[in-house]
Amino acid sequence: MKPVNHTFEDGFESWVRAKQYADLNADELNLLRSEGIDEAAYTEIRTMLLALDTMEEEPVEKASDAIKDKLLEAFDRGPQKQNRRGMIFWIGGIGLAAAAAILLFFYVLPGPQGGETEMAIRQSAETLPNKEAQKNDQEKATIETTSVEQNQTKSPVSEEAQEALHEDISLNESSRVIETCTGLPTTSDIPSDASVENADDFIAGGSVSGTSAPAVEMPQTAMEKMESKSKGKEIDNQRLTTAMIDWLVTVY
Amino acid sequence: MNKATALLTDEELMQRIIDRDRNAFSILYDRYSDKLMGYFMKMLWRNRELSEDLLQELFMKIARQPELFDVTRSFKAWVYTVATNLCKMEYRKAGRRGHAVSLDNAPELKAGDPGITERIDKKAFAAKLKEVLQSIDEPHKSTFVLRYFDELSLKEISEIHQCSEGTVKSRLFYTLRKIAARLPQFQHLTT
Repeated sequence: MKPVNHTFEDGFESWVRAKQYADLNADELNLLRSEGIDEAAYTEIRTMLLALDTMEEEPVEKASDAIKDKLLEAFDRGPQKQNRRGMIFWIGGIGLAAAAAILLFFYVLPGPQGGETEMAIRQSAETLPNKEAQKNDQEKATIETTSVEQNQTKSPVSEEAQEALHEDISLNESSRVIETCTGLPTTSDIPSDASVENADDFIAGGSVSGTSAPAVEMPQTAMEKMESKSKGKEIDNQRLTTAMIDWLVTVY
Repeated sequence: MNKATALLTDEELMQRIIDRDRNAFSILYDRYSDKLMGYFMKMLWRNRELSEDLLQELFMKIARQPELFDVTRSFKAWVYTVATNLCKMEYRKAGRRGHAVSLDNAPELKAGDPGITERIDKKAFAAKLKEVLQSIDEPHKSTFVLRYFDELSLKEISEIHQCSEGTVKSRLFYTLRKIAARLPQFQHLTT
């Protein structure tokens, strides 16, 4: 077995082997100083390098022939293919999870803030016209009442006229109560000479000015409407979710 | 074996392997398997089984995904980089397991051989050197082995370890001093 003989040309080994410390030039000394190597350390390193050269070459480490056979078999099988079935499974799984998350977010679980906001918007949209009408009615009623009072104070009125006026005021008040309850903006326009004996008759569907008033039915408030709608929607969502789950089960 | 193929450079062989040339793969394996086996043996506590496993793993990567290699780079530097990374992984595993390093025993020598004293010293030195190497940390050991056993250039080693050539030199100086300090009994070999 022949000894190792390193012939590096790109490193420091060649001049370390060849030179004693005293023979080193400025560049070489600078390099050693930058590495913190003094004369004693240099001598140790030099000795070691020379020992490495004289060291007998190691016997070659041979790997088992079976390894090469296995590798050639693997090579013949071709390049590594991606597990497409696995990828499809994972992509399908991710899609399924995303669909479920969307369903949950938008339908099954109404968010506390989102749901409230939606309800508030619908409620305001439905009640706004009624509120405006109520305001108008109240203003009109106030004007009429004021005018009646003014008439009472300004000119002497007969007892019949006073009774008629009393009926008119009571009618207006009753109708205002009804409006407040129902939100219907219709009764403020009732003329003072309406042939209705009292407010009960009006509520019961008595005729006003010869025209038959529509039967007054108590409509649902906006909240009740919302509740009924959301109940219906919940049922729809449950059906939708069930259908989705059935479909997914069928697919997978 | 095709003579023309056998004369190709490592990088040209890799290009052929990418094109699924079985013969090129066989040649490249023959060219590097012994060197890499020796490298693994020195790096991994002379554990033959482990070294063979890693050698197989490395060439399996080449067989299955040769396109991982950039043919514009040096194959030698690349393959030793992969081998060094595999060794690092084994060091991490060994660290987690609290792996007890199994050191080589000194080789047996028979009395009566010619030049027995000199050979004993040289064999003992080689055995002791390997023993000392096991106690050196991974980057220094790898740098030392790549330089003085596998005879790679400073540039190649710097590529493998992703550091400057100056760092490689520093590591070599450091390791040489460290080993020299631990092997004072072999100073006479150089005289």
